[in-house]
Amino acid sequence: MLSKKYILGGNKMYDINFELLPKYLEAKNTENQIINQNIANYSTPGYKRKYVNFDEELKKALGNSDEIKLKTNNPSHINNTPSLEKVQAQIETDNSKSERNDGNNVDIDNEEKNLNINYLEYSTAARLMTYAIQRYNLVVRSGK
Amino acid sequence: MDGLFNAMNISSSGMAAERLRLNIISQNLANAETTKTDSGDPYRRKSVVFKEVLNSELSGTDSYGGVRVEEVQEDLSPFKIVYDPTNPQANEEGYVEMPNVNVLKEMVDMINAQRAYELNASAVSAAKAMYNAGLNIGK
Repeated sequence: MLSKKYILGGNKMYDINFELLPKYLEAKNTENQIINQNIANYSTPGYKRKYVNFDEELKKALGNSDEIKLKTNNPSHINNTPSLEKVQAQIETDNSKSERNDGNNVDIDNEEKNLNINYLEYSTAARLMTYAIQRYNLVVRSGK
Repeated sequence: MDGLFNAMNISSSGMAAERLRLNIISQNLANAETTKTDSGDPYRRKSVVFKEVLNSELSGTDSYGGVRVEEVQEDLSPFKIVYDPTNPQANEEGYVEMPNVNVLKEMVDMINAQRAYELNASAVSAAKAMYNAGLNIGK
């Protein structure tokens, strides 16, 4: 899944976990705010639900998306895959039609589901971060 | 309302707004039979108008402030006319103007407001659990 340069960076200690997980946690925090914003505006006439498309961008950056990639050999060339450093949570508005009279398209059950998924994803990343730190801890304490 | 724990501020603004909506619904139900108010007319049904709050207008960054109640509107639909000659408020033909409150509609709105309030409350606890998970990193 990950290319080798992400796992070992020459002599420098480079761990993808410390690059990726904080970014992921930050994005999930933003997503949580957006979900709460949708829930708070459940009764606002004409409100359109918002969502974060971080997961898709992350997939692209890791080279796991189905999209056709533009091959480049210079960083200034036009590129359709974002670099891992530049991936960030984009907030977008869902302008789909509403089944309600007031034009609001928040589906409260869907938001409740998203809220729980988001919480579990955040907890998972937090746990992984802990493991990543503990691994180094173990080495530093020479296995004691 | 920007800050570290913004998600909780957003949800609490939602809870405050839904609580006000619930108060207005109670007011409507309590006055469902009120034929005389200060203006002399029967009671007019009231409803709240919610508006999304965006802090980006103030700070220039993408941050969300939840919701607020913009105004409490009066429902201008016509009053119900009921034939009741024994009522002291009746006109010469025996008709009484009753408030334009539909009790069934108020009950449905009440359930809606209650559900939304509960979901905002559970969003607060979800945010709290999430922040706790973040604080436990490394332990």
